[in-house]
Amino acid sequence: MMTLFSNHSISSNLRHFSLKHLPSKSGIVASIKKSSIALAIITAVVFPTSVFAFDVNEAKEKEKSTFDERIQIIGHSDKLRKEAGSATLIGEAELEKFNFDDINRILYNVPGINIREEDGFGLRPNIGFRGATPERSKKITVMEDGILIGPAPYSAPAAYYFPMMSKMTSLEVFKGPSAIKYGPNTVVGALNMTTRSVPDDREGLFDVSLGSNGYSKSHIFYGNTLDGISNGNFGYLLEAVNMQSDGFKVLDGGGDTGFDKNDLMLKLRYDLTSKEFSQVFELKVAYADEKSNETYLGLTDQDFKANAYRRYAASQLDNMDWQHSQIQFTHFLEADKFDVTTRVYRNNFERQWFKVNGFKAGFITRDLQYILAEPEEETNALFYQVLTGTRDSEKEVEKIILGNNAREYYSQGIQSEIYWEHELAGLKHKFNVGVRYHQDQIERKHTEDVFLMQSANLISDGSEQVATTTNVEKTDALSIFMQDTINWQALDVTFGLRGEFLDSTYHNLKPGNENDWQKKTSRIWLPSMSVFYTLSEQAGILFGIHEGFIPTSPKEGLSVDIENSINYEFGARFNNQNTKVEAVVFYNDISNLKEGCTFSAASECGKSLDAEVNGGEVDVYGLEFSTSHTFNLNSSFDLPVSIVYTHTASEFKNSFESDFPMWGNIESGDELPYLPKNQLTLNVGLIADVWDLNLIARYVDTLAEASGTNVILEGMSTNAYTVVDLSFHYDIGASGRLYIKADNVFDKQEIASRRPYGARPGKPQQFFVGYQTNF
Amino acid sequence: MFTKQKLLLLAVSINAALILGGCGESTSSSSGDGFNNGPVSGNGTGTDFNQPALIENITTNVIASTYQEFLQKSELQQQAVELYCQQEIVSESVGGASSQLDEDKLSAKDSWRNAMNIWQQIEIMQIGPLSNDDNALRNKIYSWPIVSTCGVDFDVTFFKEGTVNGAPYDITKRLASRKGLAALEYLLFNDELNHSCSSASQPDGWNNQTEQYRKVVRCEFAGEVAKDINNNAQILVDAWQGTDGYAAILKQAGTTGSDFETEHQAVNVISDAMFYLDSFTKDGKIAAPLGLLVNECGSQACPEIVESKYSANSLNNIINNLIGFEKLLTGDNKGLGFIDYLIDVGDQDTADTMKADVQQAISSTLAYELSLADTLATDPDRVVLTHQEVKKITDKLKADFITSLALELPQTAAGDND
Repeated sequence: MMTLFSNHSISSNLRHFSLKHLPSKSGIVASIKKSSIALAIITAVVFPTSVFAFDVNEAKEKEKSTFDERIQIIGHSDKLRKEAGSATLIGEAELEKFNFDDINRILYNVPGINIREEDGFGLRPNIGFRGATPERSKKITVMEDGILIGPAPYSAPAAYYFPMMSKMTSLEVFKGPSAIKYGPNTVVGALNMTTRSVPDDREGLFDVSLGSNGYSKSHIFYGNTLDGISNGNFGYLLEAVNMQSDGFKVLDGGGDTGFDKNDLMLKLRYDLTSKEFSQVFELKVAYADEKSNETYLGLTDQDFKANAYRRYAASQLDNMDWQHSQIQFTHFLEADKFDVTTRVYRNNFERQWFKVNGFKAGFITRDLQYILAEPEEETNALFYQVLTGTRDSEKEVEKIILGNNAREYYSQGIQSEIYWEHELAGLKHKFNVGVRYHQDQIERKHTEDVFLMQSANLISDGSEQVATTTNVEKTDALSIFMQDTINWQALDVTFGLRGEFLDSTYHNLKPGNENDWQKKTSRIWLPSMSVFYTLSEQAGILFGIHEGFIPTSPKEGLSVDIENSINYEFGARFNNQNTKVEAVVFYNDISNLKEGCTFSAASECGKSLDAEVNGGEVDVYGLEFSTSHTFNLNSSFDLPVSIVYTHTASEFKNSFESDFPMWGNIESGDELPYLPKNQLTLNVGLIADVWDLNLIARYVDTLAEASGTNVILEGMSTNAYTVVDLSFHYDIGASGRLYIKADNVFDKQEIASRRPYGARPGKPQQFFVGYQTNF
Repeated sequence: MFTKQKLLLLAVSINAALILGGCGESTSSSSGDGFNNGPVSGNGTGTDFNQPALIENITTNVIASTYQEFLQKSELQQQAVELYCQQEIVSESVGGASSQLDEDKLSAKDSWRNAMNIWQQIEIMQIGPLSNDDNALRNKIYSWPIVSTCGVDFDVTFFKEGTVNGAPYDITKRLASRKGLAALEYLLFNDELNHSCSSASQPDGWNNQTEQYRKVVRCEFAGEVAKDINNNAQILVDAWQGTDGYAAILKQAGTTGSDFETEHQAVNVISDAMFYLDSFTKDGKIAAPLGLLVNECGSQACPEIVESKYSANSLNNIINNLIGFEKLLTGDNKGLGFIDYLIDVGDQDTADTMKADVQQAISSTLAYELSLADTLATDPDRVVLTHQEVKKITDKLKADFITSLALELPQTAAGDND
C-alpha cells in the first residue's frame, strides 16, 4: 500500500537467482529443455557479451539506479507513487527502530494483514492478507530477494521454513493487482524480504544483544567492493546471525522450551560495465538451522488463567530440528532501451518435527483439542490428567502418540524478466515481461512412536516405530507474466496477465501402495488491470481488479477445486513529502475458498493430514488506511507519528457442512475464523541528534476460533488486546550505539489462539539490551 | 487524441472482458488404481455385483430389524423395572421383602440381559445416527467403556431431590456415563448399597440412609434410566427409517444429490462399523482385561475391568458382538451380505474362512463354564484362546476382506494394537 515506511538509505539490493546445490547436470538440462526462453537466458548469463571501454563511471551510476529498482521491487522515492495496486515497503531504517526478530511484530505496521500468533517468537508465522487464512502463510507468495522461499511453494505451500528477519534490510508487501506478478498464490498477495546487499565500500557491523528468558543475539557482517578487477568490480559480503533463548514457557517437571537458530550468508558480486551493456553477476550461498523445543500443545482456558506460560508434561519431548540451505545466482543486464534480470535458484529444506499428536486410537478416542476445550467432561478429565502427568497411562487408549513429521523439500528454478519502454500509437508504454520455470518437491517420511506417561515422564512403551504418511509430491511449473503500463496525460493504466502451467505428481511410497499415484495438469490465465489517476503533484486515486488463484496440491483429486477469486480495490493516495495518507477499499469475491488440514490447524487433522476441502463462495471486504507525519518540534527534535488501521469483514455465501476443523456447519453469512474486524497500529517516535525513542502500540480485535456450529471451539473467540513495545537507541559516536528494548512493556497477556491444540500465549514482557557498532 | 482514447478504451474493454468472462482454467488428471482409495471413489471392485441389493438387505433386514428388536426389548425392560420398583416400594411400606419382589427383580434383570444382548449386536452396527456427533446417541444408550458408577450414585440422589444445580432434574441433559444400559446394570445388579465414590466428593449422607430407602431410591432412578433408554431407542429407530432416515440416505448412494458419490462409499460406511470387533471386542473386551494391552492392573489379567462386571454378562456381550458381525457378513441369510460380495469378486477363500472363524469363535465362547472375570482369574489361557479366535477374524477383516472388496480402512484401525 504505500511508501510510508520507505527507507532512503537502502543501497543496491540484488535480486537473487537461486541455484542452490544445483542437483545435477541432467536436472538442469531437463529444466532448460522446458523452455526455450530459459535457454536463451542461460546463454546470456554464461556467455555475456564482452564489450567494454567507454565512460564506465557514467554507466555504473545508471546501472546502479536501475539495478536497485529491479532488486527491491518497490521504489523508494519520497514522491507520490503512481503505481496502482497496494504495496508497502518497510525499509532498513524502520526495521532498525525495533530490531524485531519476529515477522509478526513487523507486519503489524502493514494494513490489511491478518496474523495468528503461535509460539511468541515468530518461528513459524501464520500470515494472511485481506482475510486469507493465515495458516502457515500458505495462501500468500513468500519470497526472499524476489525468489520463492517457501520449502515447496507449489507442492506444499505451508511455510514451515521462514527466513530469519534479523538479516533482512527491507520487507515488501504486495496486494491487489500488484500481486499478479508474483505467483503461484495470487488471491491476496505476496511478501518479499530483501537481504543485505554487497556494500559498495568496506562496511561491517557487529551487533550483540541480551535479553530476558536467556535471549541472546549475535549478528555480524562484513563486506567490501574491490575496484578494477578484470574490468569490473568484485564485491563480497559475509553475514552471520545466531539467536537463542531458553524460552518463556515453563515445562511441568522442568526442561528447556527455547530455541537456537543460526544463519550464514555469503554473497559474491561482480559488476561489469561496458559501452553497450551494464552487467552484474551475483552469487548468494546461505545456510540456516534451528533447534527449537516447540510444541503444538497448549493449555486449557483455566490453566491459561492460572499460568499462561505453563507447558504440560506431555510436551516434554517436542522438538523441531531443521536445516535449510540455498544457492542463488543472479545476472543483471542493462542496455539503453531495456534491462533483463535473470536468476537461478535452489533451496533445500529438511526437518524433523517430533511432537505430541494425541492419544492412541482405540475404543475410546479423544481428540486433544476437545480434551483441552472441555477438560472437566468426565472422560476428558482422565485424559487431561495423563497429559499433565498427574496420572499415569493406565489403559491402551491413554498412551500418548508422538509423531515425527520428517520431511525433505527442495525448490529450484530459473526466472527472468525484462523491462523496456516504448511509444506505441502515440502512447507511452512500460513493458515488463517475465518467465519462470520452477520445480519443487516434498517427501514425507512421517513416523509415530508410542509413549506411556509414568511419574510425569514420557517413557517408550517398547513398541516399534510405525511409518505413517510416506509419500512424495512434486510440481513442475512454468509461469509467465506480462504487464504494460500505458500513460496518457494524468492517467496510468496497467494491464497484466499471468499464466500458470502446472504438471504435478503424487506418489504414495508406502510398500504395497504403488498404485496410489496421480498426475495432474493445471492451466490458468489470470488477468489484471489497474488505474492510477494523478489529481495533482501530491494526490491521486487508484483502482484495480485482478483474478486470484491458489492451486490444489498434487495429491488432491479433482473433487477439490482451485481457489479462485476476483479482487477489486479502490483508493486514494496523498503525499506531500512530510505527510502521507493512503486509503484503500478492497473486495475479494472468492468463488471457491479452499482450505487444507494440517496438525498446525488442529489435532483432528491427524485423520486426514494435508487433505484439502472446498468452502464455496466467500466475500471478504474491508478498508486499509495508513498515514504518517513527522512533526518538527524544534531544531533538535522530530516527532514522527504513523497510524495503520484495517477493517475487515467476511461472509460465507453458502450453507454447508464441513469436516474442516475450523469450520463446522456453516450458514450463509457466517464469518471466517481468525479474521479480526479491526486492527490499529500506532507508531510514535521522538528523534534527537544522538538518541531516539520509539513506541509501537497495536490493537487487535477479537478472533473467532471457528466458524459455524457443531465444531470444536464453536462460538469461542480470543479477547481483543493491545500490546505496546518500546525501543531506545543512543549513539556513542564512533564507538557505536547502545539500545534498550522492551517487548510487551505492560506484560499484557491474552490467549493468542486456541490452536493448534489448546490456549497459547503471546510473548510476555521481555527486555533487551544491545550494543551495535559499524566498521 | 481520439485515436489514443479509443485505443485505451479498447484495451480496457478487452481486459475487463477477460476478467469478467474468466480466463480459461483447466485441470485434468490421471491416477493409479489405488489413488484416493481409488475404487471407493469409483465403482468399487469393477465387478457387476449388485451393491444396492446388499445395501438394501443390510439396512432393512439386518440393521432396521435389529434396531426395532431393541426398541421392543427396551420397552419390556422399562415395564419390568417399573414392576420391580413397585415391589420395592411395597416392601418399604410393609417393612419386609416378598417372593414377588425377588421374582420381579429377577425379571427386571432378565429384561436388562435381553435388551443388552440385542444392543451388543447393534454395537457392531453403529452407522449414521449412532456414529454422528462422536457417537452421542450411542453413548446415551450405552456409554461403555466410559462409565461412572459414582456419577450414577450422585444422579440417584439428584433424581430423588428432583433438582440438580438448582434446575429441575432432566435425565436427557445428564452425562452419558451416568445413564443408559451401563448405569441400569449397576442399579439392578450391584447389591452393594453404599455409594461407589472414592473421591472427596460424595453423595451427602447416602451411606447413612436405611437399606430399603436406598433400594427404593435406586430403583426409582432405574425406572427413569430405563424410560430414557426406551426413548432413545425410539429416536434411533426414527432416525434410521422413513423417507428422511439414514437407511434411505445409504440406499440413495450414487444418485444425484446423494451424500455418497458412489454406492461403494455407502458399502464402506457399513464395513467401517464392522471394525468394532477389532478395537472394542478384541482389544477393549478381551486383550485389555487379559493384560495383553496396558490396563489398570499394570498389564496383568484384570478381572475388575471386564465389561458388564455386575451382571457377569461379559461373554454374552462378546457372543452378541460376533452375532451382529455375522449378520452383516452373511446378510443374516435374508439377502445379500459381504460374503456374497467376496464370492462375487472371486475371493471364496476369505468368504469361507471368515464365516467359519466367526462360527468357531461363537461356539467356543458359548462353551465357557465360568464368567469372563472368573475365567480370567482361574484360567486366563482360555481367554487367550478367545482372543486368538477373534483376532483371526479381525486379521482377515483388515487385510483380505478390505483388499478384495477395495474398501478403505477406518482411521481407528490404521494403528494396529496387535
